[in-house]
Amino acid sequence: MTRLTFVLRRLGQAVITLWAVTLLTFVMFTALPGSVAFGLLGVRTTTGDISRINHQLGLDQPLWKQYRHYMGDMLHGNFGTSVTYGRPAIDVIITALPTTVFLAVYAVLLTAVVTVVLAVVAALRRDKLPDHIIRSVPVVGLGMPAFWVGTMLLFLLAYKLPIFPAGGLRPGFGGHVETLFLPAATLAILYTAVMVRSLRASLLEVLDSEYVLSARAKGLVGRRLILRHVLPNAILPTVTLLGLIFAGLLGGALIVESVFALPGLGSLLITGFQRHDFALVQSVVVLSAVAILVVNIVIDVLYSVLDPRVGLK
Amino acid sequence: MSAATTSLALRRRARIFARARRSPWALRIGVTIVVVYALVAAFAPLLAPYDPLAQDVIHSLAPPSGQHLLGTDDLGRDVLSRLLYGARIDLPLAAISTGLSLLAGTLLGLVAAYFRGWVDLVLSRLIDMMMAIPAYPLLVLLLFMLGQNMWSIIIAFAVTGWVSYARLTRGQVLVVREQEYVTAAKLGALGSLRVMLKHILPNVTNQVIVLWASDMIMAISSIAALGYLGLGIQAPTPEWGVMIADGQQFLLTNWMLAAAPGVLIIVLGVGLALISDSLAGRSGRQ
Amino acid sequence: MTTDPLLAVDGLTVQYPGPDGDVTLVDHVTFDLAKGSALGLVGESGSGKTMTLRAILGLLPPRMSVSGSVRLDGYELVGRPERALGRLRGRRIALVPQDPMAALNPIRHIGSQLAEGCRLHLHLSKSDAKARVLEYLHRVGLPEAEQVMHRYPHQLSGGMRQRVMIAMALLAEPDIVLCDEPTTALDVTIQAQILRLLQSVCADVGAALIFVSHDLAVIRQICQDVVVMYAGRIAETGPVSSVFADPRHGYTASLLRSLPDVDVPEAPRAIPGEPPDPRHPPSGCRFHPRCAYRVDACPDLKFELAVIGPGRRSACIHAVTGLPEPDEPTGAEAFAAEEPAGPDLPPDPPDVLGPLAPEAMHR
Repeated sequence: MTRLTFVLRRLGQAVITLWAVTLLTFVMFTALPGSVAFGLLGVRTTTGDISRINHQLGLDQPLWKQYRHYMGDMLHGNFGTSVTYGRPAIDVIITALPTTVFLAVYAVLLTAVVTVVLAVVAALRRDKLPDHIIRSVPVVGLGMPAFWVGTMLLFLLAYKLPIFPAGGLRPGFGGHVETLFLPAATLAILYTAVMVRSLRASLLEVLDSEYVLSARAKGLVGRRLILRHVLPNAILPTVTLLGLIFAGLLGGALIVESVFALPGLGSLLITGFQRHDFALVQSVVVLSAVAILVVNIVIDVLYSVLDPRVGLK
Repeated sequence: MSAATTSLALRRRARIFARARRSPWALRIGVTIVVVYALVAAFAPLLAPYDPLAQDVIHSLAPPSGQHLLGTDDLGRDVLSRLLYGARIDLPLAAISTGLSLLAGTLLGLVAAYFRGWVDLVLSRLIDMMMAIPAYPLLVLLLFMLGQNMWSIIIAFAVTGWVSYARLTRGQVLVVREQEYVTAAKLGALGSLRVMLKHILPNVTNQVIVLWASDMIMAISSIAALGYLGLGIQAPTPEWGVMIADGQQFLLTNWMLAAAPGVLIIVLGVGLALISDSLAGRSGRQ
Repeated sequence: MTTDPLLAVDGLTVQYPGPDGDVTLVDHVTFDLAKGSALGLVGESGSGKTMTLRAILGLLPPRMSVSGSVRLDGYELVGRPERALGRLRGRRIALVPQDPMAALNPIRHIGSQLAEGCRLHLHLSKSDAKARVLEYLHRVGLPEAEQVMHRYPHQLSGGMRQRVMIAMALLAEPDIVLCDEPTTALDVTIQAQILRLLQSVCADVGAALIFVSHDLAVIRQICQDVVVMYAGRIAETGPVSSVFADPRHGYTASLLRSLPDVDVPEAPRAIPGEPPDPRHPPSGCRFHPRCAYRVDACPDLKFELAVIGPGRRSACIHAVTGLPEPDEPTGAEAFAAEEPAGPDLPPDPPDVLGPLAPEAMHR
């Protein structure tokens, strides 16, 4: 199957999945009749207020009609108006998007660098002290809650030793790099714990392989051997994982954004939840789903490019 | 014939723990940790010196002392007691929700892989869809719908969590099915469902337990995260995540308020990770 | 020999630490290789022949310890650091491995893998390297060399891959080529072609050959001298013609008798039993449990290679006197000599029928 056919087929599947997601969110929305009104007016509403607002927002129409409006709006790019911000939800999301994307890229880069360094050291010094230390990282790291790590980092590197700013976002590339370092590092610590193990195992497998033996028999040693024969072969599954992590982060790193007070998609989600702002919540969910689906397709195509043995199904 | 296949199943079950034999200390330490936590959760009322909700504002933010082994928080509540009671929240919540995910997921995976046909097709599409939806937003959406209490957390986690178990079980069953099919055809299958259950379960059990242990770690972390964000369990209930959120303001003065609950979560995570690793054969010499 | 040998292997020993002490995989192997000659290394699987090749190149896993001496033109190889060995591998001693599919990097195309060697050792520019690669691909009988260069290993047939491996080994014009059963993974029809190719290219380049195989017929065809190995030790060595015509070790004779031969009316007799577990080898001569020429003194025999002629040595008790009439050991004895394998963890896959077989034979 050619690449184009593959991509088209996957896009088709993605559209169906996306439709299912929107249906799901719609169903969930209609399962909570009064909350939008609560969100707008606060706790002290009367039944009269609720029905007035419901009428205003078209919530008292038959379900299928609502659904038609809902889908129609969405296809026109209208995700509803955010009651919190009084603007179309889409606009609010787009403002928050750059922060989330920057953080996602930053975190993935840090994770990749640290993971590769640690895994290579562990694989080359197999069963010696550095290896044992590095192998215990996932054991501890998996259980660490992100918000705790973030808080501790804040404590150590922003309060005790004021190296980094304590949250918030500064505009500009340099400002982003500085203010987003701690959040990205928090994420990197957690993801590295997950990925070191798999990369190390992959490296060991490659180091034991026949073609590495053959490469050594040709006279390749040291750095050249690692960079040209070991790492490229071992890193393929890791690349896939990194892609998945990136996709997930595009949905907004809820916790980290909250700890460091960053205006990204994650905090929009939380705000939307607290204010019962359904348009906001729904938009973030749909956008994240789109991001994940697209990135998945990209990963699959990329993998087939990197590994010539793999054919696209 | 059935004796041979039954003994095979038994040997496989022994194999599950055979991997653990490579590093017995890992499994023992892990189980010890988890058991200790479970005991603390069960007997917290007996172990805790104070009522976790009892406020004593005069003595708020006190450092560790003879009276309050770990000091008090901003409302004068004893930190140690709150930590102990916290186990009664996070641990059972995580256990029940992952348990439900496990049951629902493995059952669905088993059914789909055994019957194949449209059942399998529908399930696979469902799994794809669930994997496309980012976990946290969906979780938040569900809590949005169901309200903020323990039961809604359990349901929300179960709804988002069953997918990995279903995928795992389905994959394993498909593999075994192919081989059993051959055997059954050759030996004149006797009640193939029974035969398959006898062989599939021991095979799948190991990986499912490993998955469950990792899942527990994630669940505890997430429950605490939700507590921290104010989206899950709420104050004044002594949940570890909530305690960390409360303690964050006092990092410079009483950093222990935020640090201690985190350490507890991490240690529990280590215990579960050790169990998971030793069962998966990942500890010891490799 | 009047001239010094190109490669002098003396007392080469490879061990690894086991639960009950060190396990010896290669036991004091000693032989010489003359410039331009072809030496065969014969033995069943587990005889240590592959390990010997790897030990010469210094390519053993770090767990294994190597002792003894391997001298290339007088230069000691054992114990050299990796960097020094890297300069020699490919350039002075090259390897043609057993399985060409596994030995090629699956994600790089053939051309780059071949060019790597000559750019590294001969410091050729990209275009010079490319030209050389093409030349050698032609030499090994691959006509569409240009296309082959851009292909990936999985896109070539087994025979083509092995030709590529031969080209890769000879690109840097080494003095010695170590071949590890290069035809085992191939179709019978291709085997002959590859063998002829190997012979001719090595002759062209003037490289000496160490050819490892369990196939006596091939050794007879290609090599001038032969080293017969069993269970890590040398059984006997010497020129191929005299060793095969007049074997002076029970194992050699048994191997020869197991070959089908048009001239001999009797059916070939396979050697009963299996090679021993290196962790618990039989005492004395390691072949005695399976040997048709065994006498009572064999289990107590001290290992020593006796010189029995120009370039001929044998470790057998009958080395000097010649082999007596064969007397097959009964099946039970041969099997009883197998020590049960140590307690290993069984492998993991959900293999329904597999585990039944060894379970049935387990004692």
